[in-house]
Amino acid sequence: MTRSSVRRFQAIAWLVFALGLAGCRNPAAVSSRTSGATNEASPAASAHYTLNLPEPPEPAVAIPSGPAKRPYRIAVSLLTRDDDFYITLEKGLREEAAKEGVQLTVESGDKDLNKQINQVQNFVAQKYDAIILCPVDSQGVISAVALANNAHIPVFTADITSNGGKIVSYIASDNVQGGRLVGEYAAKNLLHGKGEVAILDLSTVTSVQDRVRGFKQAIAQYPGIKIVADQDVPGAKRENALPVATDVLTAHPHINLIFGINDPVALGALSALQQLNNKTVMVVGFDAGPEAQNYIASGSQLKAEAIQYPHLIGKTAIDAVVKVLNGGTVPPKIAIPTGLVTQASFIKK
Amino acid sequence: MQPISVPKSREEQTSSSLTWKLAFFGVNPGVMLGFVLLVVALWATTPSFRQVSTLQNLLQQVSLNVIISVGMTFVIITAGIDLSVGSVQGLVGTVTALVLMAPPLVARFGSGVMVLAVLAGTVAGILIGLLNGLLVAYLNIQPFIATLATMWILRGLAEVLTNGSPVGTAMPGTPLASLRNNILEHQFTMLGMGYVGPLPLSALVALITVVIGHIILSKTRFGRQVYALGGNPEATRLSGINVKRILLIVYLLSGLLSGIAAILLMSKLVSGQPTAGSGFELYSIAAVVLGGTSLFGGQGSVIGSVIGALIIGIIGMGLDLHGVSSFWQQVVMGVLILLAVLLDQVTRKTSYR
Repeated sequence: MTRSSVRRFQAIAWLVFALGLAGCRNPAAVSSRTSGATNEASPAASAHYTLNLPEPPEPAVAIPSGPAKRPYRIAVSLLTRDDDFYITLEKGLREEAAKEGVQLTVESGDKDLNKQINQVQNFVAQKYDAIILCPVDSQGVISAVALANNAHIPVFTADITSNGGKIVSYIASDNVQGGRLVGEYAAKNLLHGKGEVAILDLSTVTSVQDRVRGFKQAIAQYPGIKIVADQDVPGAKRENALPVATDVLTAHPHINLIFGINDPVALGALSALQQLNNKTVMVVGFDAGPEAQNYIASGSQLKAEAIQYPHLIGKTAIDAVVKVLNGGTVPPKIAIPTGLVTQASFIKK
Repeated sequence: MQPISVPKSREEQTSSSLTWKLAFFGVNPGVMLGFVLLVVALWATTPSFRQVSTLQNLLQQVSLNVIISVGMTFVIITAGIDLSVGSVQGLVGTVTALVLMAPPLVARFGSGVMVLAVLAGTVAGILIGLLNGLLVAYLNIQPFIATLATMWILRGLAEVLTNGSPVGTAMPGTPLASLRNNILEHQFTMLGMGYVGPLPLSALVALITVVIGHIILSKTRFGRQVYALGGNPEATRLSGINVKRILLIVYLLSGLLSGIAAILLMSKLVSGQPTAGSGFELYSIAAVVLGGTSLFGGQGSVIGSVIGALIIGIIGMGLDLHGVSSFWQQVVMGVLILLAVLLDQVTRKTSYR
């Protein structure tokens, strides 16, 4: 090769390489929800079972969906569209918007804070009547909320909220209730009122604190059950849950049940049990994504998980916006209840 | 793919110079035409595009890419590349935020801490540029590999420095929480979000960067040496020019400018985000390539890169205004870059005949 053709080759290689890099970059999003899971959007857990979940209960504070007084223009910036949770949430938004006869524009921040702020800037310039945000980052979204506040455009948040600025209402899953649901099922149906429990935690995240608080509230009703360990799993990741679960089981050999605060942690605990060849300890978790559903349906040691209703979050967000634009008021926080997935939730085909 | 062109002799350079004069600052005439058509089409079809506030937003939104791309243009003209500019956003942003929110500094200097934060961010940018320059110029590591390595290193350092979570609003109860939060949320944000008259401040910074960058590249001896180095490094070296020094300065410049962009971004995000700016290197390379700068070196212009960045910004905004999903936007962007490069190929082939 001549010198110049070597350089030409290098230049082409750069481009190819650089474009390849684009594919593998995934800026971490700080989400209150620790894994992507959903009910409606996920396919049946396995070829042999169908999830038959009861209709989601209405939110504790029902938002009467009075008809919109005029076709309001509502803009939404989602955290991402790469996640079943948000795909379902968007469906809920769109269906309710169509029902209410309001104009809806939905964009995705693609987990890029700068992009999300730019989108809100453009919404403000286009003078939308209201903005719904699923922030990429609670802190970083503050400047975007301030922009809308200055333009007197009401801002609502869904799933995750902003650390600053004026938010009319924050619509999200009721993590305390979800934790309580899992705790009650574990205490009553799995442990029958006595035993030792370990929590695999991520105590720095607010939504996880709520889950654990609800779980502990439920367990406290049963004096025969003792929480013997509450250990943080770094990043609430599966690969970190495995060693932590193993250590906890070694330190407390009489544990009967483990509560993992999200899917990756619960599944990591399940792997730890398999490695230890432990066939008795049960696991409960939160989120009930497709893989967890598969384990629950097939009768593994993973017994139950709370599941969120993103469709209902989307629907309620639109209802709240319409109510406020119609001149009504809504509470600053609207909690959407979660459901419980157990083996009984599945119908065998 | 680029046309197979033999290293340019003097005659060939003059024979093709007519095309380059006809073209706008080296931007391919086809790309330029496309740009104008794009603006006209958006202007005609989209009422909200005609609003002043939309145009202000556009300028503010492209300004970061413009600032970074000015530095990237210098680097690519030397036939190099700087992949670390995205990670600089993360590291310089967090460094700036850490200084801005440091209680002892706020206690001592009050709002003056903002000057320190900008200074710290700028120095960090320069040091990063210096590191890239030393690796490329003095340790002879290929620019792609050197900056690929620093890309990971800087991103990692940003995560290490912040333990992976953003540096933002101080918790109530921590020392000087309300003063620090006031500085962060109400004063420092002016840099990235504020206006000077009708012009966004960050757009003003971009404008100054472009003017200075354009003058250095097209009017100074150093600028001519940069072109010479990219066109024929061997001849440049043999003619007694200190090639290593030029390379070092070019990477330093890229580091400095991405550092400045990072400070503006941090201000806009009201926080030092360790993950900020991932993918920025690709937007910047795309802008430079769209602007007619050759990845083989020796050709290109600052103004071209500005046009490139504007094209990317306007297309993104136009597609958003028309409600096109971000999935398709990526496809459009890719096709656009291919079209631009193909057009460039055709134009150059005709100019050789």
